Amino acid sequence: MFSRFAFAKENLSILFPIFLLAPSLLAQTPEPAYKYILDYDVPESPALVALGVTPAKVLRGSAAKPVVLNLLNQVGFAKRVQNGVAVDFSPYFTFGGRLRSIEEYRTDGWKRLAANSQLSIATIQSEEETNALLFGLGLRTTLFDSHDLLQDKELGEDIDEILLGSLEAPQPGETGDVDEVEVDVTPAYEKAKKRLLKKTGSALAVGYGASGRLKSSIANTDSIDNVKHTAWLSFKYSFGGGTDFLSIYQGQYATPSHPEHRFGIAIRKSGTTLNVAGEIVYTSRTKRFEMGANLEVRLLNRIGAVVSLSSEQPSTTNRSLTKMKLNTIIRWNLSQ
Amino acid sequence: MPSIENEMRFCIFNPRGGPVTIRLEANNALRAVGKFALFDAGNQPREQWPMKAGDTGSADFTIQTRPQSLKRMVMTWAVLCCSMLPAVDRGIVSIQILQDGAPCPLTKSALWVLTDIANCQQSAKKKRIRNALTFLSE
Repeated sequence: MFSRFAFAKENLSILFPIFLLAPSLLAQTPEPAYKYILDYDVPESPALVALGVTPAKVLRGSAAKPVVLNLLNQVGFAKRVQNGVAVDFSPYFTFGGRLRSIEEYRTDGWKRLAANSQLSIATIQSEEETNALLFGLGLRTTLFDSHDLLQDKELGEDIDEILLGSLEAPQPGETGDVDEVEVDVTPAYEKAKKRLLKKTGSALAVGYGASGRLKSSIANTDSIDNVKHTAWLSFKYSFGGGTDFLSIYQGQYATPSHPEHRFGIAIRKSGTTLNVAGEIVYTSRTKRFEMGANLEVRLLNRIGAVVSLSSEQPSTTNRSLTKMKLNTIIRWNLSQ
Repeated sequence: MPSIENEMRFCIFNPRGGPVTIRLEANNALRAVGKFALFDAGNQPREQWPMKAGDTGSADFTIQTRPQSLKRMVMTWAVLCCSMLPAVDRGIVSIQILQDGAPCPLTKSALWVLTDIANCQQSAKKKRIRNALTFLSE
C-alpha cells in the first residue's frame, strides 16, 4: 500500500517518536537480527525510483531478489486515492540464463552482474488526472555486495556436510532411480547469517529508470508525455551488528539542460521484525536539505510493509513551504 | 517388452588399464553430494566413499580396488541435490567412469536431467538419485 499526504512543517516532530520508539521495538524482538536482514533486505523497486515514489530516498545497495511484487495505493488525506503495482524480477534467470557452477558465479564478473540485475515495471494512477496513468521502467544492478551468500564458501561446505550425513550408499538390490527425501539444511544458513551479521562490508549498486504519463491510459507514442530519466548510484557500508550506512547520488533528467541532482546519506538499524532508518537528502532544485525516516516491518513470511515520513519542498518559489509526505508500501518477496 | 528404465547398467573397462576414477558432476550451481560403494560379486562391500560436486560442480575419486579385480563388481550410489539459487530449479547431475583419462563406455547413461529441484534453504525436499552399475571387462 502506498499513501501520501501533506503535513504542516511543525509536524516534523512526528519523526522523533519513531527514533525514540525504535530501540525498544528492536529490543523486543526474540529472533536474532540477521534473520530479518538477510531474508528481507529487498532493495527498492527501480521502476518506483523512476516514478519518485519509493519510501526511502537513500536507496540500499544490497543484492537483487529474483521476483518481488510491490502493491501500492494512496490512502489519500489531501489528495485522492491512487492505486498501482510494481513487479521486479531478475531478467537473467527469467529469460533462461544459467550458471555452470557456484565457482563460475564467483569468478565470472559478467555473469554475476547479470544474475544480480533487477528489471522492474510499475504503474500508478496519476494524482492530477483521473484518466491518466503514470508508468515507470527501471533496471538496477548490484556491482558488488560483500554480504552475498553465494560468496560464502563455508555455507556450501556446511550444506554438503549435512546432506552427506543423511546419506548411505544403497545395497545392490536397493537402488531405485530419482525420488525426493527431506533433509533440513537450515542450520547451515543460520551459521552463514551469523557470520555475515558480524562481518563489516559494503555494497554498490547502479540503476537507471524512465517514467512518463500515459494520457487517457492508452499506450501509444502520442499519448505519452512528461518523460523523465533517472540514474542513481547507491552505496551501503555495514558496520556489523545490523547497522548500515547508506549513501546515494541520484540525477533526474526531465530536460537535459536542467538536471536535478540529489545527494543523500542515511543510517539504518536492522532488527528481526523491524528496520529503522533516518535520512537526509540535498536537492539541487530547491538547494535545501530534506529529512526523512522510514520503518520496514516484517508482517508475515516474505511480506513486509514500509512506512516513511519525509519533508519535501514542492516549489522553488515558496521556500517557506515545507510539506511532509507519508508513504506506505507492501512488499512481497515471491522469490523465496 | 522390458522397460528401458529397469535395464541394468554396465561399465566396460580395461582390466589391464590404469586406475578407475569416478566423476560426479552437477551444473547450474546445484549443490550435489553422494555416497558411493563398491560390492564384490557376492554383494560384500569392498569400498565406500563420499563425493561432493562442491562449488566447481565436479569432483573426482580414484577407487582403490585394482582394475584386475573389478570384473563383475557392482558400484552403487545415492546422490542428493538442491539448488543454491532461488531462481534455478533444474539442472543435470551425471556420473562418469574414467580410466586412463578417457570415459569408459556405459550401456546406459548415468545422467539425470532434473526438474523442480527445491531451493536448498527454502525447502527440506532434496532430489535423491539411487542407482548402480556393474563393471564388465573388455
